[in-house]
Amino acid sequence: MLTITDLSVRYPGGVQALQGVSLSVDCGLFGLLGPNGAGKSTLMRTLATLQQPTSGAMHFAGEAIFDDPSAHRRRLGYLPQDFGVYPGISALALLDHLAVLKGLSDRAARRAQVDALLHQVNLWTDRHRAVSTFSGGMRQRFGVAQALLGDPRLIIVDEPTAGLDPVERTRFYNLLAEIGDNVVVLLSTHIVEDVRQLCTRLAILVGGRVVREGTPDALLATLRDRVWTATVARGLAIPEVPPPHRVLSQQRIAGAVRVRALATAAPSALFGPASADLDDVYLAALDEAGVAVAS
Amino acid sequence: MSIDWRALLTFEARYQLVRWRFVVMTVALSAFAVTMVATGYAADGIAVNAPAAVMQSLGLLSLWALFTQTIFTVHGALRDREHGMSALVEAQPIGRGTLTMVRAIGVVAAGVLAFGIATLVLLMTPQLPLVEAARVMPLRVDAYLIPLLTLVVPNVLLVSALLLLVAAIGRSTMATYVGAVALFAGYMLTALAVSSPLFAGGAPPTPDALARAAVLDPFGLSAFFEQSRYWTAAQREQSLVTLGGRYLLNRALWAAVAAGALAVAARLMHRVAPARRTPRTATEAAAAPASDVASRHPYRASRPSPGGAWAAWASAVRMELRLLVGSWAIRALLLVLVVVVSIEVLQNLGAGEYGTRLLPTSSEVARRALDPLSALGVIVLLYLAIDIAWRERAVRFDGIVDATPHGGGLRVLAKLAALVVLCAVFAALAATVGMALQIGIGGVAVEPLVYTAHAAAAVWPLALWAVAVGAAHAITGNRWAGLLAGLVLVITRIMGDSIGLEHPMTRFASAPMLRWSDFDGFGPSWPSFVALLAFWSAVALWLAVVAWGAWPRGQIASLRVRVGRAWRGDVPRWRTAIIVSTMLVTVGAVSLVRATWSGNAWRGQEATRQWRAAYEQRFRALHDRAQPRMQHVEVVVQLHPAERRAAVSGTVHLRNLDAQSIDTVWMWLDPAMQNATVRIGRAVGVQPDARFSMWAVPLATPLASGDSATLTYAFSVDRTRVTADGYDRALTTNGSYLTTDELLPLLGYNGRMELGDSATRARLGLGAATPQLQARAAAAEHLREIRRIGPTRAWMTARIVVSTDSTQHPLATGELRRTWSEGDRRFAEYMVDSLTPPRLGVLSGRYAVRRRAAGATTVEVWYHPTHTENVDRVLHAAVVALGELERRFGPYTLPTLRIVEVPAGWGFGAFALPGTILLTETRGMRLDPRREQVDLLLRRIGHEVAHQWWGGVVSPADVDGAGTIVEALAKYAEQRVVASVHGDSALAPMLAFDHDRYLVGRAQESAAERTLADAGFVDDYLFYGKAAIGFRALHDALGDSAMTAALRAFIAAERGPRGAATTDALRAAIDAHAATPATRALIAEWFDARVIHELVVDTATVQPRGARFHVVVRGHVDRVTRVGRGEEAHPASGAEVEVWLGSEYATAQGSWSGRVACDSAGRFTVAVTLDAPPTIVELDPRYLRVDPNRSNNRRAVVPLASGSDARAAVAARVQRW
Repeated sequence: MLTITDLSVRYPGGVQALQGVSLSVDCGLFGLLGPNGAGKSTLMRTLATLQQPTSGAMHFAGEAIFDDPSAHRRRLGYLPQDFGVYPGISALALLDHLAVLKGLSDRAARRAQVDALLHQVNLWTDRHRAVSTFSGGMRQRFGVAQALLGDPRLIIVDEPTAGLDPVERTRFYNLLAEIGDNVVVLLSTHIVEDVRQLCTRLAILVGGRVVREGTPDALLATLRDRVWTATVARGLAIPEVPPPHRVLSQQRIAGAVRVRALATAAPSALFGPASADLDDVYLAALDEAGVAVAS
Repeated sequence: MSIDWRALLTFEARYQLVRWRFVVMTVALSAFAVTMVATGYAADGIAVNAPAAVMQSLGLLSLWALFTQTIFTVHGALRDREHGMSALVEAQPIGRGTLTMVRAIGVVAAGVLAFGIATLVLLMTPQLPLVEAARVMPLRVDAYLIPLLTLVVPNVLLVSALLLLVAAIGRSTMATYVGAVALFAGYMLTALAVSSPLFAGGAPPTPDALARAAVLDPFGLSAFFEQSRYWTAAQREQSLVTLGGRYLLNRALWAAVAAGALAVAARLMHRVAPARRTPRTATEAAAAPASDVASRHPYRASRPSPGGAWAAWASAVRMELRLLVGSWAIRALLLVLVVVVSIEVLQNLGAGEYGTRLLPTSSEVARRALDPLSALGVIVLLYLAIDIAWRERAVRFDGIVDATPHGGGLRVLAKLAALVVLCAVFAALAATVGMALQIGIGGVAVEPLVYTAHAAAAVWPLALWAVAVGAAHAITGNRWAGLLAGLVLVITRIMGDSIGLEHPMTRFASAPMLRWSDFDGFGPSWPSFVALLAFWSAVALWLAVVAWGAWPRGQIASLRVRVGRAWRGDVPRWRTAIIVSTMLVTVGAVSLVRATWSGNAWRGQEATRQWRAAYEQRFRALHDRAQPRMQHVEVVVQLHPAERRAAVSGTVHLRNLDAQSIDTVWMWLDPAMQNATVRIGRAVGVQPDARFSMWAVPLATPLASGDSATLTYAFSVDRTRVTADGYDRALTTNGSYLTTDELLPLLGYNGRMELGDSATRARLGLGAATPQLQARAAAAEHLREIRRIGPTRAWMTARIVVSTDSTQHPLATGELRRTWSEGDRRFAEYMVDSLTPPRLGVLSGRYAVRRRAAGATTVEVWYHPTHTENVDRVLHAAVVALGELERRFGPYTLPTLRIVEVPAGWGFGAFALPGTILLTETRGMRLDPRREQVDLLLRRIGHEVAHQWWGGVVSPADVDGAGTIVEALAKYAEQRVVASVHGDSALAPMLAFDHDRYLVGRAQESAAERTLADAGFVDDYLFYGKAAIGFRALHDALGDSAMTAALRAFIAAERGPRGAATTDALRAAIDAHAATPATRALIAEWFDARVIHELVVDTATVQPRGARFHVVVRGHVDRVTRVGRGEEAHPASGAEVEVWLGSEYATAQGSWSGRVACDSAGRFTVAVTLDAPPTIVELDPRYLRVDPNRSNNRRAVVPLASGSDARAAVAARVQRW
């Protein structure tokens, strides 16, 4: 459905935010992982037609997005990473207004959809409250509701769970999961857990480039038998991991330090084999891209 | 905790100063400074760098602090909030007061530096070749330094402090903008209260009002104006503002206010934001699983339709309006508007001439109520546009909205529409407040249609401004650049004409000023107003379309990129819209240029000056060439008021009254006349000069001395066309008045075409102008000639036939002979049988008439049928005036005195023609008879009736002093008429007005002040102002009967067409009736000297003496003589002063008045014993002297005894009285 070909974005200040990004995304949830500054938001904003690419092409359902941005926006739902709202406007009024801007001109149908979305995101009882007074989770749910307005075929959610507590995060996952299978949902995050929970495919973006892409299983398969772990008590020396093996992470847990390493064989006697998870995939990708991942 | 102030301040300075906005604002201020110097702002008749000009310029410049400091304040005080840094900053251990102080210092420092640089530019600009060297005086640094330190810096500080306070309270940019608007409104109101030179006012203020405003004006300019109001040109070039009195008080008061505001702001600015109480809802508490809820309310997708643009636009408009209405800042703004409108209406209703009140008619109230919108409204829009245009980005909602199909350019159109609706709300509110006030004051019925018309006329240009300033943000893609672009448009609109942008098509939303009249609504300027604003509407539409395409969506690209994308189709239908709107603008511009430029030969000021100079160079030789005089004219005027057309034809009986023969008759016609034809029987042809509207008619045989010829002429007047200027009401649908220039050709050279300003004349290669009046000393030959053949402005007889629509009354100067009707037209024939000065007038209107007999004369008042309030008063005033003036000056010679109301908008309050007086709607017929200090109608009618003698029976010779003969004596006569009805005491408020008029005019006189004996027709401050005081003083000194006898003798000697009245003859006549040398000296002083007096009470004491009270008053008098452009003061040796002793509670026993003479040192002492203790002493209570500072003429009488107990006892005894 969504094809991104050799996309580059360079900001006026000279920053190369994206460099030759190519992706092919089908229906379902697609995760976009990457550290801060990787270019995720730039990619999202470009897909949302909020900024022009320097070069490259983007097609959705076979149509070039920037050939008719207005038509693209009609099938787009966008939840930016950080958004505010007009002060003093109720959720109902604001959602209705956004529905009109989306092109839902049939009043009855619009009202029905707005009401349904407010129910769906569990804001119905607060529909007359100003969104500006909502808590972070409620506001994020409102953001999802507005992104779902107008039967979008492409939904872009940029860092949607940042700042949400576990309950709200779970609720948010459920919401996204309920979105139909005929829709492309592009989820940008730096939280691996988000992707693990939701996405059937993912890509890892580092320094404006795609360094990994595939299904979680396929990506995990690339690390099969290569992840090793060691746990040492506090105060003891952290075991050495000689090159070319690399430390993926060092995590302090209950007074001990757990070290995970990427190696074709056990780096030392202290290490035992471990099953790879997406965190390892992500960290390995970062490590390969030259981003310091462990200290 | 130790604070590194230096680091904090350095950061703040970098944050405020190393920014484009600072550079742009400094450049803008500097450009304004250059413009002021280049256009000679505040420098009429003085050097452009004279201290007074510099002071006023810097005062005006400092008002820009309202813009600069708003921007600096927003960045200084609200940046944490704007950029989401509040929590970070507020969590630091640094004290809130410290941080606020640092921010405040940054805000003020940025302003002071920007204004300091602009002041430096103002100082240096006169040294550049932008200004003629003759208009530059040697540089005085203190002339810049003192205003900078006492006016500019404190104003910057005050504005900054108040805006910081508002920001601290409101914590929003919008609140700060509203604060700036409120400050501007406050300034407007104080300026209005004192008729500030920055805002033209109606009547001169009273000393009390001046003093009040001098203290209360937050920007201090009123305090400076109070000091400098009577400064002469020389003083304005020499004197600096005195750092004392009310100026110092004003500065101290507002500095204290600024300090207080800063202190409060410091306390409020970094308080921890109060917790917002949000109800904890079931949603948060229970947190039901979304899927459960969703299953009960399944989401059914509804596909967006490709259309829906209108619905989206309407929804966005509603949203914008909802946000505006919900904003407390907007509500505060509306409250400010209510206050401003109320004060504007009430102030102006009471600001008629001589402080009289106007009737609260719907048109007057609506005009005043909607007036503030033109200035205040635009400023409000400038600020609101920032907030509205950048609202989504400010709250970080732009991402969501921009990603919707209709969230882009359509949104800017919605924002513009919301601003337009807001303009309508402003106008509706102002009109509603006006109506409420009108109902409250009562007396005149409310006319909703008149309010609607005024509101519509106010909203239209304001709506265009809304579109322009809003579009500026979308086009520039930056809020401060948008504000600057809007400001540039506004400044161009206000000051564009001073830089050559005179045509209304060169200044955005420029259109003629409308003035409502009950006769013809907005009158002849309405079509031009509509045409020009239609053009500007097309321009606004074009701007809106550009904004639509250029609206920055997402990342802000350059304008070229944004427009390029829109052109390539990113914005649906934009390409069509921009093509159509561009075509609209082009078609509108072409047709308007054809109508206003080429069609009406519009010229700018400089082109007009060159045209007039060329006329003078070409035809000045004709000035001394003999031309025939008009002896009798027959004029036929066919008025078609509904079409605003007239056809004028006439026959003029000419006669050569000069000794030499005439071979060519020259004549000039008003260039606005069309289809002109001219014919003289014995002419060999006609040589029109279309460029100058001058006609040469060579005669086959010269017209010998005494010979006659007949001139026939015809032309038409057409006021239907759209024009860029010349919006007079001469020919209108109801209430037309055609003057002599529109009825007759002018024979010979038109001296009125000559330029007056000597610098301009020199620049254009012209020598000295032809004097309109000859010097008295050189007038002997001229007088002999006049006595032989009659005055140069020949007297004549006339027959006028007027026809008009059947619904209107045809009126003209002269006696009505007959009226008749033909078809749907009404005719009237008027005759001027006896020789009369050549001033004709033709009028037509839907009038009602009321008549009253005054002896042998019939007084007629022709008035608008609904303007009945003052008709009887006008009739009564005319009858009284005729009676009083006939008793003094001899019989009125015509059988009828006709008083005709003319629509508002004429430049006169009343105007006298032979046998006819024109009285304007708003300055005569619609005065409020219920509350008035001065009987203005009686004064005005008395004055114009007096012109039937002064300027009628007696014509002045064309020599210096002619103005005094015609106007000063009419002024004197008006006083006698008012005194005959209301008593002598009623003159005091009139004299106070005239006293001020003289002193202000004298101060503004750039040339040497003339004496009353030499006053010409342009010296109105002399013949209205000084003469009012002078002739009153002479009347007082000579006595009523002697003065009357003197003037009767003067009339007897100078009456009729062969009269040649001069001030020498007038003075001789008055001298002849002066009983004492002192009186004759007084006459000489008033006629020949340029003297004012400074009267001062030094001490005034009262002391019990037995059962009575001994009062001693000591004072002194200086005689201030005008020397060139300056003046010199000396003790007034021998001068007589009138002294009055009394109290607020008048008691016969405690009052005394008398005259006392000064000794050789100008000092005087009054010692009298009275039965009761007076409390007040006043010098010259009846305005017999001109005294620029009357505040020291009046003083409390102090009880006097030795020792404090004794003083208390005396005070108690005085108190008992």
